[in-house]
Amino acid sequence: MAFIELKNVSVIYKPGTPYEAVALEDINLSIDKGEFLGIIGPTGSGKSTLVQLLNGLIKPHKGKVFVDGIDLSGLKGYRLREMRRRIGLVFQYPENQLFAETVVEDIAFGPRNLGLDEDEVQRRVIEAMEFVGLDYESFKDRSPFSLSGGEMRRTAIAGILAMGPEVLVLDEPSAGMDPRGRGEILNRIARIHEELKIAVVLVSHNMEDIARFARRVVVLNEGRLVLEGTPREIFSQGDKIRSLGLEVPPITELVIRLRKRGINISPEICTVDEAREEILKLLGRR
Amino acid sequence: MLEDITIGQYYPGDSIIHRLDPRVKITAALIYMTCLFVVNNYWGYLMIITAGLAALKLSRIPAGFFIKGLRPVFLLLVITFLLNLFLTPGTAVFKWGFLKVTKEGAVLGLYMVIRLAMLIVVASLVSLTTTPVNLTEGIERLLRPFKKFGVPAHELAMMMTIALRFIPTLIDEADKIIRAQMARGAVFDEGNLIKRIKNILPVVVPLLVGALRRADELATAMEARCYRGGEGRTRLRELTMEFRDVAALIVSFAVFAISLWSRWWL
Repeated sequence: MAFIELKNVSVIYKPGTPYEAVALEDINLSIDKGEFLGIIGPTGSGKSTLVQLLNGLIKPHKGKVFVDGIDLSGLKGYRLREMRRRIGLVFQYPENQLFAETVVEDIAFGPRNLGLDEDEVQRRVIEAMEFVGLDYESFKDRSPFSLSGGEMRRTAIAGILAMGPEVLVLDEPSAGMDPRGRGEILNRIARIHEELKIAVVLVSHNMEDIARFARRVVVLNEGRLVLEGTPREIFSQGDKIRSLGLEVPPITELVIRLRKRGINISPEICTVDEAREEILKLLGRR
Repeated sequence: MLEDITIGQYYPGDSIIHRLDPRVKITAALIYMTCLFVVNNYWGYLMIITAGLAALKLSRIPAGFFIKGLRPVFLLLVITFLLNLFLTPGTAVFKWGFLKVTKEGAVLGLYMVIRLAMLIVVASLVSLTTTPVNLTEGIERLLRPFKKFGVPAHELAMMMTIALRFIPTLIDEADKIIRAQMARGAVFDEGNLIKRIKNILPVVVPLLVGALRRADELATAMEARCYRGGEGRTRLRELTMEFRDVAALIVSFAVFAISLWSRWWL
């Protein structure tokens, strides 16, 4: 059995009011230990709802969510909190949840809620700051509100990381950041994934990022799972992706256009490195 | 968790109550609330409850919405009833230790509960059937005569519009922050009062920071669009009194007259 299993899950917002809206309908999805899953979909497709199902913040109206074989719907109190530790969820714009007087205090909030002793809390804070690239000595006593946007976001991610999750779920971790900040955050996440061997679920609007990091991608549209596969399989269906209001990565776009011009290049290319190699091969062949 | 808050919530619809002029709705609601405190006997209460329920019925809003609006004051209603029940002097019908239930107390308690409940229900009827924009315009127009005495009608109305406009936004934001902190293992529904207040800090601080940031951005956005107060400002849609508005006012005054009559001549 996969680590996380969603079985026929449906979520309805404000049922019984004029604002009633179906957020997710009949979702079946499994997430394995240690994998890197990308979730894409247009705005309002239910991505944010989906990630909150994973740690029990939202309860499904129909269907069940299992984590490690445990049904989330029956959990309460300590056991639910333990589940929230295991599935670390970083919300969109997580810098909006910073509240403590210092960076260290803020990152320590999660581990302290777990009831760890102070030495362990400090050890985890230092480790988490290291992973997100915040120098402990120069940042520990600073107010989180005096940091730059990128530093605030990394502080917030460290706050989740310090809880020691088995799956790290990130809802658009690079939204609203400049290209350098975006690259930095994503490279950090990739490193966390590799070194800590934890599964990462990445929600993103940036197809390039998904193509580069995710090994499996699911596409949501209007609350339904419409596509699932490797980034290659997904992005080679350019027309379908575009019909959902999404884009394929620019490099895939290039490949598609080359093919339209009659150049025989594999349609399943989705990173710049692959494309470079393939194009060089083609040029050499001529 | 916070979705039960219904203050300033609008329930879209097309009933006669929805279409009434906001000035009429506010005036009628004020008259009705006055009536609630004028009536003092069985017939009066019967009339006033009937009138109130008729208005609710006309709005075609599911009863559940009004009951939801009463939920936050439920405890207050219970306490009001119990205090009146036990502390009103009169003929005792039931004795238990030093507590005694009187017939007068039961009646008075019931009356007080009806007063409070109808007060809240009618106030929420106004906000549920009026868009925030219309509501504040109605208030601004009603306050206009008091401008001579230095009441800043436009500014008050604008502040109200902004406050109402931001209630859902802030509730949304609070909800998000609560979820985010719950994802970090925060607990909000355990422990004693002091612990609970302490636990709420990780929500209040980011909420306040966010609200101040929003206020700042809104001020800039308003200035960028040359906002300079109410002087010389015109309306996209002027309020006009229709036949139904006049009729509604006449009905309100009739209810008021009957209330007075029931109190002093019945």
